[in-house]
Amino acid sequence: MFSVLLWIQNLPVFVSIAESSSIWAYPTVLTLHTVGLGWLVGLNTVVNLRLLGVGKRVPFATFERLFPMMWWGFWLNLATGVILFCLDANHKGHQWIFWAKIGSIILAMFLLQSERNYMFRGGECPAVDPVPSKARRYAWASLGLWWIATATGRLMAYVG
Amino acid sequence: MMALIVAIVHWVAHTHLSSYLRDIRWVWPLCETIHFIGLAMVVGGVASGYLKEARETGAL
Repeated sequence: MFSVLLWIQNLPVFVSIAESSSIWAYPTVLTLHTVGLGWLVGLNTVVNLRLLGVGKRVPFATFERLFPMMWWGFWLNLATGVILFCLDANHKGHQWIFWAKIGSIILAMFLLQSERNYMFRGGECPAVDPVPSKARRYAWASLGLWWIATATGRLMAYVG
Repeated sequence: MMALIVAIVHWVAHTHLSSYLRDIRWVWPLCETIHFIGLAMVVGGVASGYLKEARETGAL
């Protein structure tokens, strides 16, 4: 494990990104990762807040279009996240908080898709107010997981 | 102008709030985390507002 992580980190492409002083190297990757976070977590938060009763004038159908956009945010974050991991693989690979972050993201993405299926695809959810309690549970769980993912992502710089 | 900025920054760095943020280990990470959650909510809120408008105007 140790040698694999070290080998990844020492690949020329990642060494050159890590050591580059260009604004188009590490700063751009990190910025895109933050943009992806805003896109994915932000849109998901909006959907969850609607399920919890915020902005009741906006019809549920409006939100279905947001789900593919959340996936764009996810793919952007996956791509930039892999690069960020590889730049410091040996350190991040040994941080428990990094794996907590990854675990919460996996669960949150699973929940995102389940929420979409429940709300728009299965015909289970009536898509009118009042929202069923199952939908509210989805919303709370999803919000909680994204907060954990965001917090653990930030805390990687300080913990572990 | 630069001297004024330096004076302001110096003053800010010596406020009680600044010392508090530096001295207590968990305060800064907590503020950063809340800042990121806020960022996500702003981006999500603005994006969905634009999308709603685009949908209403037939652009989407």
